[in-house]
Amino acid sequence: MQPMVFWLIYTALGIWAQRLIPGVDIFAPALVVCLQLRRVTQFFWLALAWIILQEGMGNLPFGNLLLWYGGLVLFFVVGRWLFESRNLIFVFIIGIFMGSWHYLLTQLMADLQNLEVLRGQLLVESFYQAVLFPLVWAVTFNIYKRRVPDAGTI
Amino acid sequence: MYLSLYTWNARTGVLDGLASRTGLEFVGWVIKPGRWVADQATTTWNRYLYLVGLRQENDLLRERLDTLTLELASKRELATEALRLRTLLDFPAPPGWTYSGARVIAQRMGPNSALETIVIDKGALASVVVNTPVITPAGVVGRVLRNGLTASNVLLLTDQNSKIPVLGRNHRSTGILTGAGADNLLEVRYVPLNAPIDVGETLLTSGLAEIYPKGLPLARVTAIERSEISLFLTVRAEPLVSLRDLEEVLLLHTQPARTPPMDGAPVAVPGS
Repeated sequence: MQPMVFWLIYTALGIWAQRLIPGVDIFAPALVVCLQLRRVTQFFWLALAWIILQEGMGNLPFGNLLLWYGGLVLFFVVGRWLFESRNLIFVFIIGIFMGSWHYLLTQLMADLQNLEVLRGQLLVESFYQAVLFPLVWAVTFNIYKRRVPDAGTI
Repeated sequence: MYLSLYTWNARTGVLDGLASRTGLEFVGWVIKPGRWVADQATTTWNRYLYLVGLRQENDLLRERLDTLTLELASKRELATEALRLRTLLDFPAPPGWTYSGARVIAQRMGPNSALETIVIDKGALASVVVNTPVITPAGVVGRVLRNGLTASNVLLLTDQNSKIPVLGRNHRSTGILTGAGADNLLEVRYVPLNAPIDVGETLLTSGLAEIYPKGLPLARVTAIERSEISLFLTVRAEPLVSLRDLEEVLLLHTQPARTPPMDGAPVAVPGS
């Protein structure tokens, strides 16, 4: 399967998944997969497309997603000094970081825009983000590895 | 660089517009066909596939049919009356406004959606603009927050950032209706301690914000508390519309102003 076809299907499924689980980002684990497999070009185009997509479907003013994925990349790059990039523990730690980052960033951006958000709800969403991240990563990584040629082995 | 981009967008709204015209639009394209397929699959299942125990069910239904035939005769008169009442209560658009229907295709989605919103299947191509009021015949739902070409985000009145000027239907006391989250009661702020207001009173839009037309029902007062330390009453209210189960909504559009006659004849001014 061509990577573009794979990611188009992934995007459609991701939109439906995000419709079912509000506040959770299904695309972030896929970006980590691209980084782990050193698919830099794919990462760039996917990040660009998904930033616009997520900003469009969201309801906060533009800018949140740049910091959201920026934080993910920074954490990944820094984390690679300590862990092997495909280490399962590292993926779990990224999940915990993304959960915390969701809470902090949304709270920060809401304050900046003088908006009020429900902290309890945000906390629950952050928990879901942290728990779902490794699961979605595992599924995405394995399917991508099998379906997309020259995706490399773990 | 990020701050420059952020402030430039805050001033011009260009990136918000771009995201709405592309990202939100793409979401609509993905969800609408999926919803259609799901509806078709459900219909096919119900009509042709769900036949387990059909024979036993048929016997039971024959017995029920006899009972219901008798019941039907008595209900027919009630149904005729209900039809008349429904015609009377059919939602009339406020003067100067028209309305169109829209389907709810999603609730809030993604990590960038901290506010209580829904996504509807109408956008700028259907004359939906930012702040277009969204209602049902039962009451107000909210207003359009962002609009794509064929999909829009609607801010629900239960969101903490939704603030709607209201007045009581009976006593005409005014206040600001504020949301407190999906599962919480609404709050009416700035109602003076001596203002007349009753539990059970319906709250209507006052029209002061010039977003909603005056007189649309919003919520029902459920509790009134007097505070020793505040100048205002603590008033709680519940929305008239069940926002969790929304499937279809109405969008209110202002009617375009009439073009003044070209021959210089005087134009009638409303209220003059």
